[in-house]
Amino acid sequence: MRHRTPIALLLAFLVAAPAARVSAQQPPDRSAPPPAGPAPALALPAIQKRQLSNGLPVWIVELHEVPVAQVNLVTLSGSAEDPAGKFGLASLTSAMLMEGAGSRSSLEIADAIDYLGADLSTASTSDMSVVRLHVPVARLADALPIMADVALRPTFPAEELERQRQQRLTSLLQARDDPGTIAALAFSRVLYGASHRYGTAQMGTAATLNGFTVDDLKTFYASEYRPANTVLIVVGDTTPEKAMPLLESGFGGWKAPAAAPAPDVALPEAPEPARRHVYLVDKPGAAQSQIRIGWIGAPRSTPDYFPLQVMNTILGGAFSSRLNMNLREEHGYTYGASSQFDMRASAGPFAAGAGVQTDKTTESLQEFFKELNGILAPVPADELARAKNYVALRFPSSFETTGDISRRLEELDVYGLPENYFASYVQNIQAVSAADVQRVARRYIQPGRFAVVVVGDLKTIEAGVRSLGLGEVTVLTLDQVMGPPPAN
Amino acid sequence: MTHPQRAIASAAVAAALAVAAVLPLSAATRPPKLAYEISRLPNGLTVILLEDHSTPIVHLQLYYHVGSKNERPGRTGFAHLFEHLMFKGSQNVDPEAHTSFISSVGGQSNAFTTDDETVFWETVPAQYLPLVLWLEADRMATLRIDAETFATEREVVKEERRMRVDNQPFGRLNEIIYDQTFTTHPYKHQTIGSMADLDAASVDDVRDFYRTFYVPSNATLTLVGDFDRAEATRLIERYLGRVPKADRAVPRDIPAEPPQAREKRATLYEAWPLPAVVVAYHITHDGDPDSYPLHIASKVLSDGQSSRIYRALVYEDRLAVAAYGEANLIEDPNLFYAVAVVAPGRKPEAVAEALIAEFDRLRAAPISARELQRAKNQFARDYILSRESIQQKALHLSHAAVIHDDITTADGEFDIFQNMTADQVQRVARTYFRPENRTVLTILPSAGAAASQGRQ
Repeated sequence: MRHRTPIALLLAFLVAAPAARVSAQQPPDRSAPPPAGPAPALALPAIQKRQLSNGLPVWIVELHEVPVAQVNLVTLSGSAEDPAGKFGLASLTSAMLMEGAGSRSSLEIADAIDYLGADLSTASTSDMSVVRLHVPVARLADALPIMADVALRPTFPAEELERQRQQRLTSLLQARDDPGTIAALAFSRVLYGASHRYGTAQMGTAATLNGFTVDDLKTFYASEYRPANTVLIVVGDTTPEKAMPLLESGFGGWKAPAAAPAPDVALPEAPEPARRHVYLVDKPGAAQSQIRIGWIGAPRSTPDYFPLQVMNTILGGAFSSRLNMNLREEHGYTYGASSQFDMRASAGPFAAGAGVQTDKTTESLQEFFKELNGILAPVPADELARAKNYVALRFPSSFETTGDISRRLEELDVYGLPENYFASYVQNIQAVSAADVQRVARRYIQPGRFAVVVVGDLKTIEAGVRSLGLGEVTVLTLDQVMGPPPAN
Repeated sequence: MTHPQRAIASAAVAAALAVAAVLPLSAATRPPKLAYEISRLPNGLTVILLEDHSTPIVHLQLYYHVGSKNERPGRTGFAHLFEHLMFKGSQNVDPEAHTSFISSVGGQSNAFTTDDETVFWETVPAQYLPLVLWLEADRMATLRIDAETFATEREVVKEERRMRVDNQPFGRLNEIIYDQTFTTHPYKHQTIGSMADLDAASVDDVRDFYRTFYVPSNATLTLVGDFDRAEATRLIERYLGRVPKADRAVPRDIPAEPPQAREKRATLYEAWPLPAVVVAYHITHDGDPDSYPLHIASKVLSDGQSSRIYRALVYEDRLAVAAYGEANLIEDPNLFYAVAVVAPGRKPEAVAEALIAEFDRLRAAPISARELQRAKNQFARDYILSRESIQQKALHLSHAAVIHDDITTADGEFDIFQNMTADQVQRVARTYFRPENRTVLTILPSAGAAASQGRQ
């Protein structure tokens, strides 16, 4: 089976081999890429806006391709609302909604939902908490009352709190062995500090988890989960006429408790670092070094949103971006290098990162900084055009499924984006100029002031990293990054 | 490569807590059938077309019937390494130009390798269908094979292994399970392969593999999306139809795994934060009549918080922080295995016995009517929800056509599942969940935490 045919001969053989009839008449011509056909139009989903009798807004998008429905109840409170000293409360509250509601216990909720062949889940981010139901449309009427119980009548049983607490403490324990998680947490911590909400994991720390009580959950829920703070999103094989009566009976009677909600407090602005600083975390015997480089980026509301999308696509936001082409394709140091702006209500981090070969850690850092500095120079016209096409032309594919569309609507709601946001998206991307890209690169990419986090086998990599002279070097312990470990 | 590492997430369970108020549901609603068309070109390429005009995009999937089970000894990981090389240029396409062509038109493209198949795909705005057909034809017919590119890409794949396997807690779990349970069939090794074998691969291997497996008769092209069938057929004939026919048959000489005669037990050590236990049984292959009741058993044991394993081990007895079980039904006979991550302070032996007890329960008594109906409803949910995107539809179609060698199963399995009985589930449990067919593994944290993973 082994052949030593030189490649040229092999190719000649393949081309000359007796071929199908079509080929015999017409030799293959693939010398140039074929032209594109005419572009079809994207029919953007129409959002039909309604309201329940209690004022709860309902957004409905019809999608009749597959007999399913997605229903998301989106509340505009997330971990950014966690009180000081209680980081992790929003995330825990959201998870606990499923652990007892109405007359059902945790297992009864799971059984009822599984029996219907539905998916019911909860999630939270910095800026929202959401209950999501994905269900064959024939089961929508049966599943909605269970969803309404979970969202509106959670019971927060004490024994389920203990169970969640133990699960989360175990996750934290396991995270201490995961270099990628350690790198992400260390990066947030050095940029935002221990007191800013963005400086600690969504889940909180072992110390905060150990402190939570059922009263904490009830207080947070009462203060943050309110109709005035919430939108109901429905996408799928239904119509307002069919859906509204079901939604009204499930959610129309929801009233906010008498007590006033917690005041909306904006997170404090975290100061940008003044100079570059290197942070090392030791992971003896690690098979790779995990690198994160960057600083505090931009909030979702930034007027620079579109130029940032294009600039980051060129730098590290796509497979063919500069960082990946350099570190993966040219050098083979990594399986993938990338960069992203994590945009939230307040300015989230900008990070470039990769897991790289331990013995190429120093070289990888050099290549990262080569590209981070390189993006400050004017971007060639063809590269700019490719990046804009990448962002603009893939836009339709983010509207494919009921889940996709519901996520786009969540974004619209949570970040208060304008009504014409989707309709003008492509045009806004195409309007980005080379000068815009350079302007935002110079403002948001300042490699001389970046935090550099490397998690890896320090006895192998530390001397090399120090020899680069990137800046002051601090070695962090795991406890400094994540707090003391759970007592087990 | 996909071959998804089973996430050690908390799965869950709660079986028979039947809520009296929930009325029994009638049979699940049958979703619409897929209106596909299947044909074969003179060069042997199978073509599956499914028009779907809901979004102005088109998904192309080129499914080569070759995976890591086709690798020869000493070359583990090669099928996946080869997948990477398919992005390294062909006669008319520069190295990595494939990806930049696709991304510059707003498309997405990638590939994955499993034990059984290597799948290349692109999703692009509908007007770029000719471009993706051209790209796939060029690399099927005239791949560039270059020693230097090969050496760099091998480093990328080794980094992929380090990232997914070596640098992750529990990353080596599947590797351990399959190495311990298989003796002969190449399912014994993981798709990612070993570092030593990756290092041993040569450019000659690349040429041989390409000529043997990357031929039209070993490939299935599936298009789903916003196109016109007649126009697409014309384009497919123009590009892929002109790739020459292979000069020899694709070898299918994969050694079978002999039946296991007695129970295996082993204790191993890994730098993981918590102990894990595994209970595994050899089972049949995907598409075999026994595979359907096994799938139901898999749902009863481990789909959702109402399933038996979650409920018994995680929820009630708190023996495990995470536990799941599943039938890995693929092309050749594989495993039904359950994994539990032992809770701090609990004994691995007790956890292993608790897992075994769940398998024994399935042999001892039929599942309840409610459990059966719930599993069927969950199957209907998976069935409908996994046919929402054009990529998912394409995967179902190509999987049915290639692995089942019968495309009608893409739609037909719905009815098979809805007709299952509790007796059938008990019968397959008795057939496969026998002690002599079992492997029990205990994997304990090695001293010195994550250090010294000298497993190259």
